[in-house]
Parts: sequence; structure tokens; C-alpha cells
Amino acid sequence: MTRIGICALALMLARATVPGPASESWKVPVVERKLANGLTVIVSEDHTSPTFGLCISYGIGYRLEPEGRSGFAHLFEHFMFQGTPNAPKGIFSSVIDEGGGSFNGATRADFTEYVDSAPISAIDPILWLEADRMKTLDFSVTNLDNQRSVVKEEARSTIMNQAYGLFYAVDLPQKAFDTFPNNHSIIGDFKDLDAASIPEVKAFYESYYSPNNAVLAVVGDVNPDEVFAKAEKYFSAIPAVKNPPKPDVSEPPQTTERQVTQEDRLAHSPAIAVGYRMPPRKDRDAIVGAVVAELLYRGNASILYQKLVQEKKVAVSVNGGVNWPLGNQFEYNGPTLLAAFIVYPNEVKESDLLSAYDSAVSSLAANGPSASELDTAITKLRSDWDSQLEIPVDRAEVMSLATLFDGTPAMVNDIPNELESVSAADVKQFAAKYLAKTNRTIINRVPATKPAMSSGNEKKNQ
Amino acid sequence: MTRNPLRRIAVLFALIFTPVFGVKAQKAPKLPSDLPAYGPLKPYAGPKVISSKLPNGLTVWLVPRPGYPKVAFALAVHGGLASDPKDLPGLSDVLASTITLGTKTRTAKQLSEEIAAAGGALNSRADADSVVVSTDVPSWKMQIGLRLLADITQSAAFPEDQVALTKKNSAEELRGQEARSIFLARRALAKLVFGANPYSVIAPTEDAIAKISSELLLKAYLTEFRPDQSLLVAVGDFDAAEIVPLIHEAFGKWSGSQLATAPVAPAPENKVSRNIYVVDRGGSVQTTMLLGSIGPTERDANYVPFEVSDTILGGMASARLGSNIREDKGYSYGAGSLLQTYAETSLLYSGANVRNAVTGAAFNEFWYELNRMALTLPRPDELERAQRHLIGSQALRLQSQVELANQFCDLWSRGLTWDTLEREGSEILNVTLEDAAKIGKEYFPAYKQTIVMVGDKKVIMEQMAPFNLQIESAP
Repeated sequence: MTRIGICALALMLARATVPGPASESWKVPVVERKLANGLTVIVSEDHTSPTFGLCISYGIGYRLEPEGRSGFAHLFEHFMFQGTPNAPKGIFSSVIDEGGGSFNGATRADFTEYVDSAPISAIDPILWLEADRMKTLDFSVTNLDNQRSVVKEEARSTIMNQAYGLFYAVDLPQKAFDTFPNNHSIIGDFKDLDAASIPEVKAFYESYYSPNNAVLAVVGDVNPDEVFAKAEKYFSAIPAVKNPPKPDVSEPPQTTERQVTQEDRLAHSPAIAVGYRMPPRKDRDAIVGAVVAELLYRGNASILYQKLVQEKKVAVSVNGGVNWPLGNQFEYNGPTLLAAFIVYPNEVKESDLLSAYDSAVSSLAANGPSASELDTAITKLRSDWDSQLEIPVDRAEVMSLATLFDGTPAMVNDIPNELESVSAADVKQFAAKYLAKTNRTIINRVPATKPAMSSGNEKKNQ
Repeated sequence: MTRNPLRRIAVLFALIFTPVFGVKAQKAPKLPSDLPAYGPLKPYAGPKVISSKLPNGLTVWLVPRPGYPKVAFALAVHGGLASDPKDLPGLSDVLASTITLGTKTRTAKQLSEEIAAAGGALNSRADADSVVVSTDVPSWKMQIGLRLLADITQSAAFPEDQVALTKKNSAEELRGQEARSIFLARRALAKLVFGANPYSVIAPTEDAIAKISSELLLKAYLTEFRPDQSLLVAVGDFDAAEIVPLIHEAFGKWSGSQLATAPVAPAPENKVSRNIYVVDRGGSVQTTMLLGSIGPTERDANYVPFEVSDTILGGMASARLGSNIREDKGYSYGAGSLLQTYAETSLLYSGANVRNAVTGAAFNEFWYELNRMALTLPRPDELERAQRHLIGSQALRLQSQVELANQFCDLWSRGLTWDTLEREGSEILNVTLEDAAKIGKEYFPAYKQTIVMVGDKKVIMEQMAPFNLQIESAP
């Protein structure tokens, strides 16, 4: 396998590429244009299926919601499906269903995205619906109250009534970070949700849901000129607004290891979550972090699966990644973690698990990966990256987010080369620097000895 | 959001809890005047398949699809959970977990390293009617993918240390599953609806896991993994002329055993009793409710209208259950229904997770919506939406090579061929309001459903008292 340096600037600026024959460097076509109101439109043509997928991402996530209003960005995402003066509640889902399509929304730390997939025959009504809810919404108290209930049910279903309660995604960042933007949960506090009011919902919408804070990506059985014409037709009348300045979301440095023990009244086996603070998104080390996560945590060939599950038998399963599990290694734009979730048998002591874990990680920091380990990890990451680009809506999401963060979708075709540029020395240096104990937080979650009142019950802070 | 194609069952269950949004009123929604019209609806066109049989009896379905530079391979065998010996329920599940952990010539570690070095992973699953092993790799590595797949389908060794480890981890996994309310609800419902029929098993028991050995696994493997009982599917960026010799090289010498083939499950009868079966899960903040009943097989003329009716009830975002229980009442994050299809039957479920305090109120809405399906005609706009939705969703599912390969395996395991998707696509468009009414009357009445609730028993007893139904512990 050849190792190529970080791709040239010329490539970063490339506006369009075309797919070639199957080879080891698959590239997807990307064309971009900006409307006068600031809406960026990205198109990738692919006629494999008579379908399309789109993603509109907005530059607002839960990292930026105000203190005392935790969960607001996510509650608002629900509100976006509650209808508009032009298309009252129910129209959005009926029209997409009847178009043969499906839709969803997701709120993450640095963005909120809306995705739709459908046969190509439904592209016009779907673009119309997305433009319609970028103009205004039906700001009714009934809708807000209803979605408050639904969000609470979501929290009960996905967190409070589940074994482990996603503690490696929800609790870990709360322990690993020190400032409100980074250490509150996506769902938020029920009391904060109750306090949210219609004027706040309206002000939030007017501040952030504007074309100049959004990227529309359309992928599939389309041609770029037609999509640009449709985008112009449906979106160009929406005015740009001045978005609030981005606040400082940086963290004071971590200097000591953090350890917490929690009780879980639903889990039958204990588990640990381990989180290491990661370098910033565009740091050269960030791509090395992706390779390290693959080497350590992902799949049956990974170092920790082999060591902890197969060899030492001190764990049942190993999972993890950068910005995991609510996102991937490329979808963040602020402090994030390399997180792992390891379930272990009741008869194994946490200290024995950790000592086996530490010895595997120290060995990576001391010796680096072998040539074949590194080649395998990079090949697998490249192959998985291609998989992210197969289905139109997935590719639309990757392109929309890349453009939202970087101002260009170039990353989509650059990632393979960047991965290839990672060397064993990079991995070794990264492991020594970032996988240090002083840079990590561990939560040990053990089955509760007696029933408690909530899913996660914290016992002690060490 | 789900990005990667998941196992079929995971997808089915995600549906219940996927956010759904919908109309409140029970009349046709009035569309905005300037909303552009849909383009013409193209009937669903299935992929072109090159079908053949190797001299040893292996059936091969090839779908060349240029572009995305990968190939998905899946190999299905008849067998699976419904064919397991009665005293070893869930054996196939452990077989699927161990089949990739060593062959006569490769250790578990070598297998996982070789496939990862080719950019793929080895996947395996046991369903009710089949066991499927699969992988997807970049096109230029397809030979490696095929060789590894051939190795595990022809020479799996079930090494004792790997079987011991898997048994231990399967037992842990089972305990983990038992912590999940949806698993408990599904397991209880399958036992109640299917009774003594082998479709009642959805997972291994602790007792069966303890009994399983390398020897038993090898015996089941030799019974099920034989070319005349298997299908190989390849979907992706390849030339048929190029891949056929590779398939012959990898699978041509496979002879398989002469053991009797795995038994096939008989068609079950629908068993109903007017009870509510409760799995007590103390301290739960929600009740998980499932209402289920048996439907037609996919070969039955009623199947397609049944699928359309299920879509109207709860199979799409704007369907009745989500519109009522989530959007109007706010009782749940997601309420819906889904249809699980087996070779010899099908199972319709509807369900939701609801907060404790509205357990009774939410149940009342399920009861009402099921009876509404049974007693009244759907609106014409609902029928048309469901038809178009089903055809469109099929096209969306087949965007993925892996998903298409898996769907073909599932069709084949149910005794159907690849053109089923296209045939069903045109039948969907022919379903009339009268068909839907007939199906509603036959399959959807609330009294025909078996009801399971998982949650705090005390809460459920209080909440369900007004309904005057017998409350019993689930098996």
C-alpha cells in the first residue's frame, strides 16, 4: 500500500470530479453552488437507483444551547416536524409517505440535520416542504406541549428504561468535560424542558434556522443543473439573517484521571466506559485518532477484542470510536472524546479488566502498531468510508456536514488519502500523547444490588 | 438514524420505536395549494438477476451493479431457529456466532484479520428459516471475500476453545437481552402465539447454551450446510464473466453431507386468549406493550393486501397508530406496527413504549385503532398513500448492495424467487378498499390479538383494571 502525503491544496479546491472505473481510489462526483441568500447547495449525481436522498444541516447543535435550557436544540428539532402556516401538522409526513419516502432528524453537539429519502418522483414536493419549514413554523403551545411529552418518552425509551442507559454516550462527556456547552446531555433536564416557552422557540428559530446557516446536499438520480434550478426556485426567496456569533466552547485542560462508579438497576453485567479527550477537528492528529480507534476498538481483529475478549477473557464485548456513538470520527467541531464501552463478566474484577486494558494501550504507545495491523486498520477504514457514500441519503449527510464545518465538501474525496498518510510513528506518538491516564475518564457501571429509583444511580466520585 | 443496513430483525424492531409523525384528524389532509405534484409513479422494477446452479446443486443469483466499487456476498442455507432440535432451542443462534471462529485451516484470529485486511467483516445470523453468512468487500478484493466465505461454509471447525468462549458470552448476552423490555415482550409473544410450534423460539435458553458442544454444532452444521440446500448471492460492481470462474473455484468442490435435511416448521395455528400477559420488570418507568396475531404466508393471495393494511395501521410515519398515540396524545416516542414474515406464516405486531401513567389510556387507543381497521373502510387517500409508500420503500431498501443480498436470502429461505419483489410491487397497486376491508375484518380485530405487557406489574394491574381482562404472568 502506498503512503501519500496530505492531499494537495489543488485537490481541496476541486469543484467537480467524476467517478472512474472500479479502482482503489473511488471518487464521488461533487458540485457545489451558493445561492444569493447564503444557502450552500451540494449535488452528487448517482444513477444506480431511481431514488434520491437529501440532507439539510443547520449550524446549531446542543453545544450552543443556553444554560438552564438543556435539551432545547433537540426539543426544537421535534418542533420542526409540527407543521407550518402553509403546511399544517401532518402534511409533512403524509406527503413524504405518499411519495414513497422516509424522513428523520437528528440533533448533535455541533449541528441539527434533517434527512429525506424517496423515489426521484417525489423530489419537488419534498424540496418544497423543506423550504417551507425554513420560512416559518406553526408556533403553537399545543405543539410545544405535545413534543415535550414525546421527548420525555424518548428519554424514557432510550435512556431511563434501558440497561446501561447509554451511559457511555450521555454520562461520559458530563464527567470528562468541565463547561456547560460540553458537559450537558442532548436530551436535557426535564425541568429545563418544562421551562421552554414559545417566545424562546421562536427566537431560537429566527437566530439559527436561516439559509446562510444551512447546507443542502442532494444525492442520487439527479443532474446538478436541475437541482440548482429547483433549489433556486424553492429556497431563494428566504432571506438571510445575521446569526449570533459562535461562543467559545473550549475546555480547560484535563490534568488528572477521573473515575466514577455508577449503579445500574437494569443491567445484569458490569461495564466500563472510557473516554479520552481528542484533538480538535482539523488538527493533523485527528485523523490519527480515527486510525487508533479502529486499531483498538473496532471489530474482531482489533487489539482490545483480541486481548480482552479472546486472550484474557476479562471482557464480553468491546466497542468504541472517536465521537462515538452519537456520530463518527468526522462529525464534530468542538471538544469530543475517543470513547469505549466494554462489558465484562460479573466474576471479573474491574481492576483486572483495567490492568489488561492498560497493558494493551501502553504497548501500543511504546511499540506502535505492526505494519500489518496498520495496513488492515487503514484498509478497513477506507472501505467503511466508501460504505458511508453508497446510499444517497448517507452520502448527502456526509457532504452536508463536511461543508457545514469546512466550507467545502472536499473532505468526502480526501479522506482516503489522509488515512493513507498515517504512519506507525504517528500512531505511537498519538497513543503516548492522548491515551495517557491523565487525559481519560472512566465510568464503572455495576448492576445495582437493590432496586433504585432511576436507571443510573451514582455512588461515589473518586 | 440508522446508517448501516442492520440485521432484518433489528430493522423491524427499530420501526416500532422510530420517530413517527402524523395527522391528527381522521379526514384526508388538505394539501397546500402551491405544493408541487409528484412526478409519475414508476412501478417498482426489481434488479436483473442472473440465476444458475452449480453441478453440486448450489443455487447462484448474481446481480451485477456497476458504480459503488464493492461486492456484497451472502450465502443462505435452509435451517435456522425453527429447525433446531426441541431440546436445544436457539442452537442455530450459537452456530451463527461460532461459524466464523475457525476452519480446518484458519484460526478465528486469522479469519478476522484476513477479512479486515480485505476491507470487510464476516457476518452471520440465524433467522427462523435460515442461517446466513455474508461479507462485503471492495471489488478488487472479491476473490478474498469469496474464498473466506467458501472456507467457513465448507470447513468450519467449531474449535472447542472458541465454542466455550462463545457459550460464556452468549449466556452474558442473553442476560443482557433479558434486561431489555422489547426482547422480553417479543419472547413472551412468540411463545404465546406460536405455542408448541418451533416458531415460538426467538433466542437460545440458558439451559440450551449450557448443553451445546462443538460436536452438536458440527452435526447441525453438516446437516444444514450443503450445496443442494444453499443459495449464494452476489450483488455489486463485477462482471458476470469475471466472477463465475471465481465462484466455481471457491464452491465447485463443495460436496456436503448426505444427512437428512433440516426439518421445516409446520404452519402454526393462531392461538388467542382474552388475557393480558405480564412480564414483571420492577421499577420500569414505561410499559412496553405488544399486540400480535398470525397472518397469511407470503404465498397466500391475502399477503399483499395484508401488508398494505398493516402500512395503514402502523407501517409508515403518517399511519394511524403514530398519528394518534404519538402525535395527538403524546403517550409515546413511537407507536407502530410491523409484519414479520416466516416461510410458513407471518406475525403482525403493533406496539409502543408508553410512560406508566398512560398504560391504560394507550392500550385503549391500540384497541380502538385495531377495531377501526376491522370495522371500517380505510379512506381512499390512506390506501393510496400506503400503496405508494410500500413501493417507494422497497426501492429505498434496495439502494444498498448488502440489503439486497440479504433480502434475496430471506425470500429464498421462504421458498420464493427474486422476481417476488417485482410481482408484489404490481400487486400492491391492485389492492382495493374492499380488499383492505376484508383483510381488516379477518386479521385485525382487537379480540384476535394476543397481548403482552412488560413493566411494573403493580402499575399494569392498576392501569388495566377498567378493561376487565384476565391478567396473568407471561410464560
